[in-house]
Amino acid sequence: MKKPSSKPQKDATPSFDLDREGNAAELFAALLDTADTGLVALAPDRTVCHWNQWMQTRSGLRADEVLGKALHDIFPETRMGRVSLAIEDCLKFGMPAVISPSLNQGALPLSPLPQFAASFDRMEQSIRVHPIKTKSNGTLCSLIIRDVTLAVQRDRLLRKQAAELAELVTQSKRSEDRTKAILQNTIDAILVASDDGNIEPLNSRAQELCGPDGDPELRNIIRFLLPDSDHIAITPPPPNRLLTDLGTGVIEVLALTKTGRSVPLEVAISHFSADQRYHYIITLRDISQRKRHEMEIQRTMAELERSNSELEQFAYAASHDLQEPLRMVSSYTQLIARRYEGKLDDTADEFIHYAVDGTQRMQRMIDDLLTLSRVGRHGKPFHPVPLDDLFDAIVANFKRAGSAPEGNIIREDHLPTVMGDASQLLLLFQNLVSNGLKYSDPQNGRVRIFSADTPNSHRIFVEDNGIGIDPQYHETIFEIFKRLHGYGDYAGTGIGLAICKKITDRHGGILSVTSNVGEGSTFCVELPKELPIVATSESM
Amino acid sequence: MAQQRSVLLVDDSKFARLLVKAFISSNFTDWEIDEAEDASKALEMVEGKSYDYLLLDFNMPGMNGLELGEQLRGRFPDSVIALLTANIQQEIQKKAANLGLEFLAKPPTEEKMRDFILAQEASR
Amino acid sequence: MIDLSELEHDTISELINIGVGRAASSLSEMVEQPVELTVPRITFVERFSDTELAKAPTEVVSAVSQTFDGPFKGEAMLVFPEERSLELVRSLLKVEVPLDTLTDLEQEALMEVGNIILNACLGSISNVLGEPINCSMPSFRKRESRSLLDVDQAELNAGSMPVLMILHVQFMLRHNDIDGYVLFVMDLDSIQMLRELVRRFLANSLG
Repeated sequence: MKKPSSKPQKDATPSFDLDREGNAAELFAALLDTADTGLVALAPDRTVCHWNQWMQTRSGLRADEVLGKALHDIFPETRMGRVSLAIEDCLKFGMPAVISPSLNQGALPLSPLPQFAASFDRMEQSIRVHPIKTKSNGTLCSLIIRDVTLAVQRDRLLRKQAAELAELVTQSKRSEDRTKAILQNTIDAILVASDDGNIEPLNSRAQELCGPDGDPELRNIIRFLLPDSDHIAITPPPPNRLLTDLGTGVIEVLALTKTGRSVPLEVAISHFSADQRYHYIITLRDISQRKRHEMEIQRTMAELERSNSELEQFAYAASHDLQEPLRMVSSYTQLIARRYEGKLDDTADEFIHYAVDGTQRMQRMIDDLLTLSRVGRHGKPFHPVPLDDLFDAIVANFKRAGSAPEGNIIREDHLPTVMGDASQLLLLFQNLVSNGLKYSDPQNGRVRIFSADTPNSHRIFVEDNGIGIDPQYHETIFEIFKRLHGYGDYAGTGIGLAICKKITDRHGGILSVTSNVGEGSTFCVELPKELPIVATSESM
Repeated sequence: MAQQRSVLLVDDSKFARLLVKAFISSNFTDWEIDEAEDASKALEMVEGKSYDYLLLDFNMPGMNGLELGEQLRGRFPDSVIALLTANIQQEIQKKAANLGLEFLAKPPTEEKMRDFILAQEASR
Repeated sequence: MIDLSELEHDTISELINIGVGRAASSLSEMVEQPVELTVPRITFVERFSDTELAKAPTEVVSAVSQTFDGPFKGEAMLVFPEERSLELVRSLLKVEVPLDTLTDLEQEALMEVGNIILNACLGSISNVLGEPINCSMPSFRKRESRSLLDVDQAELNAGSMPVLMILHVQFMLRHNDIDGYVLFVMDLDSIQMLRELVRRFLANSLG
């Protein structure tokens, strides 16, 4: 209910009159006791004349235990301390004082609140010392004590966190510096591209190549190589800047620097996603060195091919042109042999025999030389060749020629199918088998054919039980015209194994022998399962 | 007070010298009191004359009172040498005591000076 | 205007030095490390703009100030460039993790340091001259040095220019020296009274 405003005077009469005796003292005493700070008053003789409720609670000392005593009698440790000196200055000279918690830890022995008891032995205090001038009693001194334990705790926490933060910053800075150093000192140029087409060089090498002094076209080439950037218009780079066919997986491009140097680069692209976007890492490796080596090799290869083919040309021409006069010599010596054998004297017969034999040997040598030169010149494209079928044909050939006893060519298991020129492979294995038989005891001679695969190659072995080959000759027997025996002992031109070697080479394979004198020989033809690119038919 | 003594005051503050001189002469009227404003002047003066009392300020430009006291102690083993300073740090007091120097807290007062000298005279 | 004789100047210096010597020994006991305090020079100027502090008007300074009242009255303050005040407090407190501004607790510690020094200076003067001085509790302020003093424009116009007594104080701590200033800002009447008291004291003491 609202009271009528006409009688405020009467209602405003205070029911509590501070001027009435006793009231003021009661109120002030109650105020001091309800204050949330410690309040102590000291008389000019340094004795305590007031000790409020807060002080009683926090010190555990009742007012009647301390009144009339000096502070250093209540707390002996404060004698000579900062608080006592401040009180002295205050009472003597009227000087006020600030006593801070940082410079004076636990200036008075007061207990902390229970929640701080674990980390603080004493309450942290902020104390003010004031002179109080009274009319009747001279200068008194007041101590006002505030509990700042919470503030001190917060300060400690703040410093701890600041220290941790500083440590974290230092650590991440260190690791960032390290990453930067690694990136900067990488030989390859590294760039990162985001799917909006923005390309950023990450290290100095990248800056060199793509920066203002680099190749302005390079960014465009990179954009062209990146997938998924279809929303950006891209002009295809000039064809002479792409060094490799993009289908092969290896990307090589040509950068042209401002200084006019052209740098072939191999490009590798990887990707990662961050911030829900795709990013590409582009690594550019300077392959000038490698390119120089490749060119060197190519030049050497071309040179070799040229001289090889010249040689073959020469061998073919020589053997072909020699055939004609030889055929004439051969025909006529055979004619003489048929007509005059036994009609002249014994010496004449013997001479005629040598002449015939010589021309026949020469005929065979020329035939073999022709064959050898044809291995390179008239190679056919490679097709799968089932070796089982091939050896069927070889055995049939030997049978037809009657040059081998029944059952002395043994095949073990199934032989693989290899890639190659069927007619050359036939020649190769026919020569090896024939060799095996030739250097064996005609009655007991036996040739065994078997195969074994390695992960990358087929190995076909031709093993005989013949006279064997001294290890010191294992290297040289594949050279042309190398014969280990006199003409009379074993038939042959010394070209057979050279032909075998050349055929194996052309197939990217290796021809080798293991043998010892008297223990037979094993020839091994090792053909790769995957043909190397260089061994294509047109390059030989 | 029968004996006449000689005193050397070393202090860069003229006021301090005047004050100390006034306090001493008001109690020991016929004592001879000389003054020096720094250590080098003091060392010069002790060349020609020896003193019974050497009162040294601690804070002075150049050599401080402790360093000067150490030198004088060696030359005048029988004299009273006292360090006057407002700085009553334990460390400085301890150093002074180790050198055989007396210690007088600033500011000087008449009673302080009188009591100090009387005590020294009594122990002679 | 401030015609102090050499002896009067020297007297004030000595009183101040006695005060700061006391303050140094209290401080060194509190922080348990040697603290030396010296006042290499005392100067009197009429305008704040003539002080060394005014040479860097936008530099932020920390100041602890106490007003005093008695036969002569005014304001006394201990002033440091903020960075020096950080250095000082942290050397005294041996703080391990420095933050880039004073925390509340550090500020209070600086206030206590100021309080000790200012009390000692004022107490020394009051004690020796035999005149009681009333001091206020210290207060802390942080501002650009040009606005350090709250000079009332009206007062300036009325011609009651304050006079500054400036003490250059040097703290010599274990690892570093820190320079600061103690400023006594008084009006002309007060400084005349101070001089008068010094003269009277000298006359009494020296007969």
